[in-house]
Amino acid sequence: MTTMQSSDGLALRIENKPGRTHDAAGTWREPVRSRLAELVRLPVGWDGYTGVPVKAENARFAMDLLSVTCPDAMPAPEIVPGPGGDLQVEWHNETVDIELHVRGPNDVSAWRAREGKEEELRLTDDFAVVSLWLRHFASAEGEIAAAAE
Amino acid sequence: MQPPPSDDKGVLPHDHPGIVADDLVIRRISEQFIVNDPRSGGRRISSMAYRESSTGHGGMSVDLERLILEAGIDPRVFATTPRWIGSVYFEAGQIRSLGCRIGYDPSPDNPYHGEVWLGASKASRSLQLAAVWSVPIPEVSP
Repeated sequence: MTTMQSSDGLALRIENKPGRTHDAAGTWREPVRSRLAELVRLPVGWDGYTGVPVKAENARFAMDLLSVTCPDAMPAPEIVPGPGGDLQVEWHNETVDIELHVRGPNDVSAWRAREGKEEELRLTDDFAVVSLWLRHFASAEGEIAAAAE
Repeated sequence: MQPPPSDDKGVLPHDHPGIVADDLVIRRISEQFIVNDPRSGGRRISSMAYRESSTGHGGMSVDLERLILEAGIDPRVFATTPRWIGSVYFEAGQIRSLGCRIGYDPSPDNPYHGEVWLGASKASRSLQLAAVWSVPIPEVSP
């Protein structure tokens, strides 16, 4: 287990994974950057009520969290804004759903549904479980792609 | 409708007695809430559409249909036109059966505005399953 310091000084504890550098360019990075940039510029009232744009600190934290937990082979997630400046990062395939609700920096509700079972965890400084979930998801995606070839 | 309880942060979480079990509660759906759904091959509404705000006293914003009707306005038009591309509804009794409270929270811009306080994080997923289109978004599941 390693505790990493993000560019914002946020403590992110993740599992060691030999042979992987966190700066490697995953294909999800640019779509995520672009979507986050869009969400921090949403107009007030974007949800039809009093929703505010995604807070920059939450967008930065989400990017840092993905940088240390998301395998390069992962598909780009969907990113959905919340009305209070929060956001949710989501991956779905035919059998697994993963949702990371970033309420604030180091305040994440992580939810996974797989094979009829649901898990929900409130995470503050140890995101190893997210790393594990995403590796499983990426691995399953790789198997699906290989089977389709 | 009786005025809601409030403090300097806004309307306090409450269950308004003037909102009865068969009243409909409308939730506007922004295009920002739509995600791809690999299972159906189409698109659907994210669970994020059914979460509370993290500001003030929280709550999920809704429109109270009966108040809109009493004002002589078509709720489907009020809650969706022109920018909010769709809307879903729930029965008040159904929301309460999930352990949620429904309050009245009028504003100068929206005198028919209410809030739903979820009480538990699982309530948002239950609401997701219970949502029925009021004004559907084409090719999107609720």
